[in-house]
Amino acid sequence: MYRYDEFDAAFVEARAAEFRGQVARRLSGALTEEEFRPLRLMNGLYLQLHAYMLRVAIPYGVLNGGQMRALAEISERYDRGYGHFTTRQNIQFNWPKLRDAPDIIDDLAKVGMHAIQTSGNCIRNTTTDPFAGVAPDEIEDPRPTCELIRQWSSLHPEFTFLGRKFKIAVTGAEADRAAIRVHDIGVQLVRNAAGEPGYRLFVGGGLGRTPMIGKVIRDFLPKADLLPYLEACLRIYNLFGRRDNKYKARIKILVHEVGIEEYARLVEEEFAAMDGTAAPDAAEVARIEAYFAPPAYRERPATSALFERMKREDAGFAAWARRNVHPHRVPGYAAATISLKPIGGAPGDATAEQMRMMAEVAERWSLDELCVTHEQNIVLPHVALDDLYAVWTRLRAQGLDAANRGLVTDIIACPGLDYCALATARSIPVAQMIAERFTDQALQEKIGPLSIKISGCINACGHHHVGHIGILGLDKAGVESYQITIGGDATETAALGDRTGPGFSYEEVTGAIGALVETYLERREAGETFLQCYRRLGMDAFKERLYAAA
Amino acid sequence: MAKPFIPVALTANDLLEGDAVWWTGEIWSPSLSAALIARDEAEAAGLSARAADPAEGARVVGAYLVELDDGGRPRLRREAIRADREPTFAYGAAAPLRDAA
Repeated sequence: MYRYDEFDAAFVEARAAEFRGQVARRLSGALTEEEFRPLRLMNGLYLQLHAYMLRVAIPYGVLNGGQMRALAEISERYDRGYGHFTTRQNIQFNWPKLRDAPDIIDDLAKVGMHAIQTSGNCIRNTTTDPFAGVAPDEIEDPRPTCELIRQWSSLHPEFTFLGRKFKIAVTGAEADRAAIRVHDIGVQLVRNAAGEPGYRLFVGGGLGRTPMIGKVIRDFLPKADLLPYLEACLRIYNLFGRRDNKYKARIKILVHEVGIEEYARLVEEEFAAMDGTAAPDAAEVARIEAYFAPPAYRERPATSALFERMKREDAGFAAWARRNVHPHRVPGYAAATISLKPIGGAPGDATAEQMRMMAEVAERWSLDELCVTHEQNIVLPHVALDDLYAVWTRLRAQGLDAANRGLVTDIIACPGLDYCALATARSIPVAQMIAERFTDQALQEKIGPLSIKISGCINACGHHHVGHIGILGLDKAGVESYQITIGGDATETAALGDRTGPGFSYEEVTGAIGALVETYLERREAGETFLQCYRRLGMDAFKERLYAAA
Repeated sequence: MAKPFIPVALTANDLLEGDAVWWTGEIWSPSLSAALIARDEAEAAGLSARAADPAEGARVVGAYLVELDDGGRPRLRREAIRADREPTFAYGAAAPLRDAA
């Protein structure tokens, strides 16, 4: 994985020192809150409902055991002993004090981490496939592209004060596990007819109050042209995007209003006029790629007698292996998902002890690497098949063994009204109630792949628009009301969910989800997933049961 | 007929700690039960003036008025959760994790 070089380290240390000075000036009264607010936000420090919240960047979700341990230490020393992994593959601490924030930033810098550009109207953390580098269906590892974008976008002088925040996602496979079509820019590694690697680019996707699926702006872009082309895309957005209304300031609104053809024409014109200085140095690209060279795998048989025997002997392990173990491109290895969705927990939360356990497991059994997923879980990317039972046993000791990846209880939920100053309804307790309803492991597996995504307000941080079942919490005259959508999809067959009709109360919403699932189980055809069933039957079949009692 | 006045209290977040705090008439307290409650327009105007005082900007952030019910609790769920200083569920090490059945 990528390691910060001397330039990166100096940059992060300089920013930490700068932030310490900014906090001191705020506390001395030299800065007003109006002056200080944009400065703290540029360093990831929000003020939420109960307390400050610090969002720490985890570039494309990848971290090592030492970094995970440092996050555990920070959560105990400065917070309440836990952290919340986010849909942007970052981590948030919910209770830090302003007086401690400079020390936290210093502690992060010691392990090559920071909170820069995790907030504000800038280019945010680039996200990617959590199986990057190990997925058998990958054309190329997308992480060097992510790192290139990270370096290019960090404090880019032209793009530090955009009209709104800007999010980029990259996938290296045709199967989209990074939700690239609902990002401001989505980047897909492809090969052209001559077999040359390059990119397909999507632009103008996004969720929030005006959800849109991204449109293809370039079907094939040579690899060397990526940064100049991104620069052209951003420049046109920066020039023509709206700044009079923050709700209409995302690039998706510009692309929608002028049309993809006109936006593409403007970008191509800008791109053609560029002088080539935006292109990365080939030596730097090679240097970055070298960091992502495959690690030192041992030669192993493609199958493991121990793995197969333990699946036969331990039903709990067998369930975990069915749901949380994924194919790896190297024989004898697998990637494993550590679910942060146990029954009774808050989606994405991990305690300091759990973080230490994950660090230990990664160091011992996953070549010292972990990846935060946009589904708020953690992936161990390099586990030998022979070691999976030992890994599971260790995870089980910390309640990290939920065998539910991709199932009905693997719910994405934003912090909602329990933490967030913008939220209009609770989301985590709703996720917990739904998970309680589907506690039965056999029932979960019978239902099969089903993504429920919950947002506590129209800003859609829980990605509800692209959940197979989406839940949006709103405030209706002081009462929480939950709108349900079905048919959403964040993958290569991306779609926005269709609203079922009137909303449900906090007390009713779990029963409503139950009605949808029961309808699916009754009417599905052999092998048909919830999403396929909905696409075949349409809304009426589900709506009939959903509102039958009303 | 004029709408009846709804009692209000002045809240903010402590600058250093970030905690939700309430104006008692003398200090900023973490407890809503200690808050000074405005029971008419004139008293509410006094609280608004306090919220706008630049001197308070050195101690707290984002002061605003919160409407209270007859029992002295915030009328909105958001403000009630904030006044309780905790999420509505057990979190961190206190989360009641259990296995799937």
